[in-house]
Amino acid sequence: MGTGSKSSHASYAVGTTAPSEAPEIPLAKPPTEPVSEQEMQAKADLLIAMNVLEEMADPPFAIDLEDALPDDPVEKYDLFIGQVEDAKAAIKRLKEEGASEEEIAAHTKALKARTLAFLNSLDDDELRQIAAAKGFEHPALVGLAGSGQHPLVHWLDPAYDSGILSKQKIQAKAQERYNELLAGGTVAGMTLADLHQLEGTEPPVSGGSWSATPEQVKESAQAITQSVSTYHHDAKFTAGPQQGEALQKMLAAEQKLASADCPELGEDLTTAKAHAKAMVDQAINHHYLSPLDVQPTVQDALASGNLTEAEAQHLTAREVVALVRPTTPESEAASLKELAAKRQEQLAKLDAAYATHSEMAPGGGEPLNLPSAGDAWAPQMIASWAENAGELQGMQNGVHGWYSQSQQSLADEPFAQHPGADAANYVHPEFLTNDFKAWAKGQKLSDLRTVAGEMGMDTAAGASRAHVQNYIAGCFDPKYDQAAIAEKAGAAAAKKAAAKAAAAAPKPVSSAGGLASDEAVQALAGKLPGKASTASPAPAAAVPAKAPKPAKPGSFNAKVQALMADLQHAKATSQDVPARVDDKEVAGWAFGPGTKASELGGTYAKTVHAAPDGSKWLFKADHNHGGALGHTEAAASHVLSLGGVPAVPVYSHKKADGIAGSIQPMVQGAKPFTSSPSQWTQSQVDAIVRSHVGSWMIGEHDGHKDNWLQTPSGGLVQIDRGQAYKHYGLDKLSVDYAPSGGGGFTPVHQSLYQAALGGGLAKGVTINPAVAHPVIKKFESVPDAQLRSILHSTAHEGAKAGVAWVPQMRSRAAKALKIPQSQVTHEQIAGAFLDHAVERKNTLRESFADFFVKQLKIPSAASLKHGGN
Amino acid sequence: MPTETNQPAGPSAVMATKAPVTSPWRMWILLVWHPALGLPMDPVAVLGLDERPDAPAQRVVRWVPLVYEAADPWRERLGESSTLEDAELWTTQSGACSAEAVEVPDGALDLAHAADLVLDDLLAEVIPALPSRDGA
Repeated sequence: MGTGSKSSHASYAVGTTAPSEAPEIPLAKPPTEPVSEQEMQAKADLLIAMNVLEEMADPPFAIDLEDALPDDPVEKYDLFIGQVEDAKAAIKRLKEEGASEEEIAAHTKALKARTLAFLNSLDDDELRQIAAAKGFEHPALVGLAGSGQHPLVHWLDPAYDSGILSKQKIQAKAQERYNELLAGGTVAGMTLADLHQLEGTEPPVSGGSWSATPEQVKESAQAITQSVSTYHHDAKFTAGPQQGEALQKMLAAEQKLASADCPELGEDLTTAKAHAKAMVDQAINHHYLSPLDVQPTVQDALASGNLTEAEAQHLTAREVVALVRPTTPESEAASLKELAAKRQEQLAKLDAAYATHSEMAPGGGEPLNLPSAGDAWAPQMIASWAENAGELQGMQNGVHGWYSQSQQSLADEPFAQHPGADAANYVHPEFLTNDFKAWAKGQKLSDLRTVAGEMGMDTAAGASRAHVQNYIAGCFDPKYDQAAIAEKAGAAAAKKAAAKAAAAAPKPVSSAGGLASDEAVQALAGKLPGKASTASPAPAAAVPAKAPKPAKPGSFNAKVQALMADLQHAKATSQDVPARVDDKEVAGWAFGPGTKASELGGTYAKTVHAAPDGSKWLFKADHNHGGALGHTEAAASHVLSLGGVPAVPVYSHKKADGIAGSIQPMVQGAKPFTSSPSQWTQSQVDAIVRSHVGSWMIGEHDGHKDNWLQTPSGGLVQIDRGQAYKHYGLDKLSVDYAPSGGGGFTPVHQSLYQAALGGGLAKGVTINPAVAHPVIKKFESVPDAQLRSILHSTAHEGAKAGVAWVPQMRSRAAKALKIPQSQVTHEQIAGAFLDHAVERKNTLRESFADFFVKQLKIPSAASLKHGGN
Repeated sequence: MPTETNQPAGPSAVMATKAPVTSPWRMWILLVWHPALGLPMDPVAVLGLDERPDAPAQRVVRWVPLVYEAADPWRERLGESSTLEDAELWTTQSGACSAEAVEVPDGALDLAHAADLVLDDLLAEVIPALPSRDGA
C-alpha cells in the first residue's frame, strides 16, 4: 500500500534528470522578492533530489536511470538514502534562508511521500534484505501477511528518526516472535529451523555464567513453573507485600535459568530459557503491577548492581521489571536507561522552574510576589517569570504520567523533594491569569508595556492595558494567542493614530457612546473613592508577600490550606472540562462531515466532527434504541452539571443522514487515572466522593477506573455516563453495590470506600462527608419541574424503546395506580420514572448521611442531614 | 511487550487451512486513552477469540511491544479468560478504554496468525501515524 499520492509531484518538475544534471528551475512567475543565490541553489538541489527519488520509486519507461540503478537492493537503498540526505540538507538550507514554515512543511511532506513511494516499490524480500543489512534482527518475523503495507517500510523510512518508538516496536515484535520460535512455537506456520534456513543462519546455542548439570537445569525450570503459579495466585488473591515477594521470586528463578550454561543440553537449553521467558511474560501481563509490588525486586537489583538508584527512582513499575530481567533485549534495556536519565534531567529542570515560580507565585490565595514593574530591573524579571510559568506547566504535565508509578511515590512524603510534581502545586492557567491581572491592576500601563516589549511584543508601545496583560498572560494561559494579540494591538494603535490625525479640531466630549481609553479609565478610577488602588500600586502589592509556611498538621490553618487546595482541585477540573452550552444552541450548530477513526487503520464506529468554532466533537451512534440512549446520556450530563459535578457535556444529536445518537466535545490533554487507592491524595478522594453523589443522583454505577480521567490541572472527571439510569429503581446506595462491577470494573467510589474501611488509603487521607454537602445543596436547589423537564425525553423515549429500567418502572406504576402491569401505558411508565428521579433528588441528603454513618462508620456525618437549610 | 496466549501456538502450516468465509474467529483491537487525541485511540493489543468449544486456542492476545503501564487497564480486564460477550460489551463502552472489532484478515493460518496480521498492520500504519502520547 503506497501513498497513492502523485499530486504532490505537481510542485516539482518531472523529467529525465540524471542525478548529476541540474534541472531548469520551473518558475511560473517572477518572484516578488529577490531570491538569494543560496536559496536558489538550495531549491535546485532539492529539485534534483526529489526528481531522482521519484524516478527511483517509479522508473520512467526507457530511461537510462533504471539501468543505472544497482540491482542489489542494499546498494539501491544506500543510493536512496543519499538522495534523501541531499533533500533534507536542501530543506534545512531553505529554512536558514528564511523560507516560510508553510513552504518547509510542504517540502517535508513531499519528501515523506517520496520516501514512502520508494519503499513501497520494493518487494518483501528486498525489504528484508535491506533491513537485515541495516541491523534489523529477524526481519522475516514481521510483515507476515504479504499484503498491506509492510512494517519494514516504516522501519526503513529515513523520513522518521531511526530511534523513534514506533520503529523500536517493530524490532521488539520481531524479537518477541523469535523467542516464541526458540520456545518451540511457530510463527505464521514457521518453525525455528524454517527461519534459520530462510536467514541462512544457525540457531543459537545458549551460554551462561554458571555451569549447570542437566538435572540442575531441570530443577531451575521447575522452580520457574512453581514460582509463576505462586505469583498468579498471590497477585489474584492476596493484598499487601505477598504479591511483591512472589514477583521477586519468579524473576530470580528466571534469572537463574537464564544464566545457566549446560553444553550437554545443546539447543534444549535455549528452548527451556525461551519457554521460561514466555511464561514469565505471560504472568506479568496478567496482573496489575504497582510500585509497591516491585519494591522487593528493586531492592535485590540495587544490591546486585543490576539497577541504579536513579533508574529505580525514575522508571515506572513495569519499566523497572523490564530493565532488570535478563531476557529483555539489549536495545529495550538501553532505551529504558536512557529514559531514566532523561526523566532525571526533566525532574531537575522542573524543580528549578518550580522554585523560581513559587518564589513569585506562592499560591494558597496569596497575591503574586512580583516586583513593581516600574523598577529598573523588574521588566526582565517579570517577563522571565511569565515565561518560566508556561514552561513549568509543560514540565508538570511531562512528569505527571510516570512519577506516581515510580519508587518515589512510595516515600512517606512523595513530593517533599519535588514539590513541583505534586498535582496540588500545578500551574493552573486560569488562576494564575487572575492573580496576574490582580497584580497588574496596580501597575502603570507604560511599565506593563515595557514588560511586554521585553517579551517580544513589537506593538507594545501603543497597546492597551488589556492587550499587554493578555499578551503577558499568554505565556502561561493557552487561552491567549500572543501573535494575535500583538497584531490586534498594532491594528488598534494604527486606527487610533489615524483617527487622531483626521480630527481637525477638538470636539466636545460626548456624554454617551465611545469607549474611553485605558489611561482615561485609570485616571478616572483614581479619583473615585475606594478605587485608588487601581490607579497606583496598592501598598499590599508593592510589599513582597511572604511565601506561606506549611501549616502545622491538624491546625486550623492546615485545614484552611487543605480546603483551599481542595477548592482549587474542584475548580481546576470544572475549568479543564469543556463548558456546557445551551442544548438548543448545540442543536442549531452544523457539524462538519464525520471523520471515521478508521483512517488511522481500524474500523472505529465513532466519528469525529468539527463544530462551527473548529473544536473537535465525538459522535456516538445509537443504532439499537433510536436515540433513546443519546437522550439518556445527554440528560445525565445536564443533571450532573446542575450539581456542579465535573462532567463532559453530552448532547442528544441527529446527523444529517438521520442517525441518532449523542455528541460531545473531546477532552484533550487529559490522561487516564491509573493510580491505586493507597496513592490517592485527599483532593482526589474528595473529588470521588462528590462525583459519587452525582452518580447516585443519575443512577449510574459504571464509574470504574477506566472511565476516569485526570485533567491537565490535576482534577478528576468521570467520563462515559452511558449506563445512567440503567438500574434506576433497583439500585442501592451501598458500599457493595456494583451491578457491572467485578474485576477491573469495580466503581472507583467503591474501591475508595473499601480502601477506607480496610485502612488502605494513604497516611492522613480520609473520607470527608462534608465535601458532599455543596453538591447535594446544588441538586436540592433544582426545582422538581426543571428536573422533570430535563428528563422528559429520557423518560418518554426510554419507555417507548423499552430500555433497561422499563420493567422496574412499569412495576412501580402498576403499584401506584393499583392496576395490573399489563395495563400500564408508556406514559405511565415515563411518569413513574420521573417521580422516582424527583424522589431521589429530594432524599439525596438523607440517603448520603445514612450511607456515611451506617456503612462507612463515620458518626459525624449525621450532621450532613442538617445542612440543607 | 511479550505475547500471551492461553495455549501454545495453533496448528502448523501443514494442518492449517485458510480462514473460512464464515470464520469462527473474531478479532478486536484493544485501545487505551490517547491524551493528545482526547480519545481511546491508542492500540495496545489485539484480541482474538475462537467461538468453537474444541478450538486449539480459544483466546489469543498479541500485545503491542514496549507499552508499559498504559496497557494496564486491558491487562486487568482480560484476566485469565475472555468471552464473546465480554468483548461485545467492551465495544459498546466509551470510557478511557475501548475495543474495536476488526475483520479477520485474509490468509490467516490460525487464530494466533490472524492476531499477528492485525498487529502487523498496526505496527506498519496505525502506530506511526499517531502523535506521541504527550502531544510532542
